[in-house]
Amino acid sequence: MRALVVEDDREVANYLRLGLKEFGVVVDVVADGRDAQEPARDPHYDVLIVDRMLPGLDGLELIRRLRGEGVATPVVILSALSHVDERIRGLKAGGDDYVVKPYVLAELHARLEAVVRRRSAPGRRTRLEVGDLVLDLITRSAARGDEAIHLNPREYMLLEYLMRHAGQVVTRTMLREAVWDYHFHPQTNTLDVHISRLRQKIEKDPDKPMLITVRGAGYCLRAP
Amino acid sequence: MRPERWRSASFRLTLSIAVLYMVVGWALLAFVHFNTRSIMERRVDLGLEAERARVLADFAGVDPARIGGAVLARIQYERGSARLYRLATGIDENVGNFTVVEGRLPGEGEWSDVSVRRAAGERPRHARLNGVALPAGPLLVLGRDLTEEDEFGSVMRETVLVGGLLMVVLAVAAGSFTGRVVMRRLAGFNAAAGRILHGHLDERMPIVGSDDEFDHLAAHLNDALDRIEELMAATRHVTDDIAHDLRSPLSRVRGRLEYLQISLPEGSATEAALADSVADLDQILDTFEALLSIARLEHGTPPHLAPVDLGAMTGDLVDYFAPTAEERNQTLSLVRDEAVIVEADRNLLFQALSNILDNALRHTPAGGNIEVSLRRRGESAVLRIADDGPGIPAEDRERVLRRFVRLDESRHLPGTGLGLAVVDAVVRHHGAELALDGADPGLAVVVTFPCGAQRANLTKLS
Repeated sequence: MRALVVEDDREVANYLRLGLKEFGVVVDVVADGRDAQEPARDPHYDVLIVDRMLPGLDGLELIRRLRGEGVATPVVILSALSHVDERIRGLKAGGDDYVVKPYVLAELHARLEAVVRRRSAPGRRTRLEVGDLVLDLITRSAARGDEAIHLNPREYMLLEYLMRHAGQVVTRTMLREAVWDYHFHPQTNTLDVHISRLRQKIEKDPDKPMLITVRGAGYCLRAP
Repeated sequence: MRPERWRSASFRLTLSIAVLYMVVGWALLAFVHFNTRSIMERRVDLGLEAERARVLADFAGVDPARIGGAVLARIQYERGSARLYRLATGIDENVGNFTVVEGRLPGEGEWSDVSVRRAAGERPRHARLNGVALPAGPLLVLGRDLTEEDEFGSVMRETVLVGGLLMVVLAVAAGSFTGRVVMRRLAGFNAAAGRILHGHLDERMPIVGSDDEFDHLAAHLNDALDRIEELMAATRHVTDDIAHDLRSPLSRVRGRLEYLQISLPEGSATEAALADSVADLDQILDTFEALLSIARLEHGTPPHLAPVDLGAMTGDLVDYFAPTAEERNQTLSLVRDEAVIVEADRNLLFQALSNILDNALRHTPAGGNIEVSLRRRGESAVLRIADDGPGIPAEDRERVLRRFVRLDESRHLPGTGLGLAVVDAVVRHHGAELALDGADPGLAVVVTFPCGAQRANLTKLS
């Protein structure tokens, strides 16, 4: 994956570059909003990471201009402003996701993966398959091999999201937003309990798990 | 809280003022009464002494045998007046214009107060007598009929009585008026103090412009409140500035540490130490974030609220926490009324409610019960999250809403000490009210939202 980082704080940009390199992301850095306009049009980039407040040209204004020119590259906004209103403004300006500083690298990477995949994913699907785990989106039923799995509505939504992002790391925050549709940070990891219940229903062989915990990041569903 | 009527300062003030008015009034009347009486008595005595002098002069040369006639002539002359005469000794003893009914006749120079009758069949009346030994020998008793003085006295007593009663009525009226005026000012102070206690720090004591002691008191209190508000704002700014200024460098440190951590092989001692450092930094950053969000909520832009179905939200809330409760053998139940719509920022409110419920779950032992209930109460919606855990002692409940207050019992649990302060700020941001109650046993967190008529006002405000 190639990413263009537009960030004026050189140190933040540097560690972002080094950190994402560990996840296999190739990063170029531009420090000024105005200087970013030219390279941002380059279709080689899979994703743009734009700081909310930039010298020269404000981050949101940069995104608006790019979208106005028809640049469709996914954009993740980085910001120290955590208020929900700011988040909404960022998404309205054309951002695909909004990550608040200080960010956890793994969280940022998971979100980058998600927005890049969303763009490349085929349109409507009626059926999701990961290994022998099958989710029928029309009948809203799940099965592992020949065995039907009974899920409650919330578990169904969790599994659907995990299967849509199969092979990717999905963070707890992403799951909360997708399944409960609230942007919030619980004091304790209540979500883990939901995941462990889902595990009990979908896992067959404890030595070959499908839904694994990625330490410090979240979860990943993949074929065993 | 309203004190019982008889214990209220207003009642006692009214009573004391009334009693004071009454005592002063009665004392005044009594003074007038006794003074008038003594003046009248002196006048009677002076009159009798003058008459005595005149009698001594007039009877100086009178033949003892003709004294009776002279006395009769004098009685005749004084007819219609209040003067009394009677010869007590001598040949013409008993010549006079009165008879004693009760008491005795005085000797020479003596005084006596008696009851007399001036004519047969008349009712007795009071009189004051003085004995005069005439130069010719016999004792003449001079006297004064006190009927007039008695009548005056009884008029006086009636006046005192009626005046006194009038005084009581006036005293009670004046007392309650004065009491009410004073109390109205005090009630104004009380109301203002109550609002200040509830966090309206910009509230001030009312000044009516009468330039009296109350206005002076209010002005002094307001000066003190200004100082307190300035100090609080200064403290708050310092905390907020620290939080804001330290966040950026700490975020950079965090970035560096995290990069080092992920570039090291998982499971090594250094990697574990770095992971712990990152976790500690996260807690510091969480605390700063909480402080800054309180600051934003209290002094930031006016709320952007939209209608939210609180019933659906409590459903989501319970749904999110249900597996955790089950894991801990706790019973989490939900009781709710249908269609309770409030104006809210749904993400912010859900965050606050999840903090409350998370607290309840953490502080309730295994096997405990947590009940979430949502009720419409007239113009408001009451959301109550009650547990049967150890609860919070009544005297600490107000305190735990403040920043950084953690009770000793919960120091071992993770948290920033800002949880409830943030919740309180969010709740107020919604024009709602947060209260901590005993649940007998346990704790009940009650959030009261305005809806219906009050909601219309809120919309107008924003």
